[in-house]
Amino acid sequence: MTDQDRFQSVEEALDALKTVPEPDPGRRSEARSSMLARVDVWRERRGLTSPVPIGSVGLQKSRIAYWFEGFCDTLITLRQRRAVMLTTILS
Amino acid sequence: MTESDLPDRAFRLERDAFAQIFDRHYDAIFRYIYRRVGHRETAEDLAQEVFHRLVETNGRGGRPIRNVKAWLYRVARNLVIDEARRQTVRQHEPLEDTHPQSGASVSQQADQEMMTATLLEAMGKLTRKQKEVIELKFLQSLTTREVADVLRISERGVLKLQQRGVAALRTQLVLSNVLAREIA
Repeated sequence: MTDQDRFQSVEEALDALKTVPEPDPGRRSEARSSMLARVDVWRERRGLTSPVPIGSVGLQKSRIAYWFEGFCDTLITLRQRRAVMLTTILS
Repeated sequence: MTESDLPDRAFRLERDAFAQIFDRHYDAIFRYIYRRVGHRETAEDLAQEVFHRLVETNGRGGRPIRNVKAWLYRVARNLVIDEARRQTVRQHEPLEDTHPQSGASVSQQADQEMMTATLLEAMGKLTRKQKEVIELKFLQSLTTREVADVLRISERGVLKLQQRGVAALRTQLVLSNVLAREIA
């Protein structure tokens, strides 16, 4: 081995060890999903809405939406009942 | 979203915080583990386990992990130690597929592999702590403060180990004929 082939410093030698393979992208994405799935499990255990981050009004919105839907249904049913009663009386 | 609020957001189990931590540190943690176990699949399994433990620790409550990076390296280091204890029979090919340079000839590649093996052998002759400091500082590019946090020793201790480790490594590499002798 000639002097040119040899490392000139310890730092240069260590640089040669820096080269290691990159993680497999498929495996990385699998590990990421698996970690996030565990986050979801803990969020559920803690009673937090699964995929919605804290601070979001996602749950409140959906509750309001459910309530409004129910309210409209009731209103329509009442109007329908009145319509049926009126029709009966008039006939 | 800043780096400084990540520990608190992870503690509140915000998915985005975990995703950010993963994206920032997974590759480096994988490389750190890979260098120490020399086997891709094991390194991938252990790297995944590091992030699972991050979730579990935050999920169980207690206190937020303030220095996430140091914490991840600490867990990775412990997992590698456990793996080494468990592994009695399994034979691993060291650094199995370090990017062979596409243009390099077979003999150049063989020279490189021999050089890497010699370097690893020289590293193997250091004390465990010296080796860890050199790996974290020079191969993972952690700061002295971060290395101190990972190994739970003082910064002064890190610098001492580094100084002695580099000196010991220099001697080993000169003896192995891969490092040019310094001209005084």
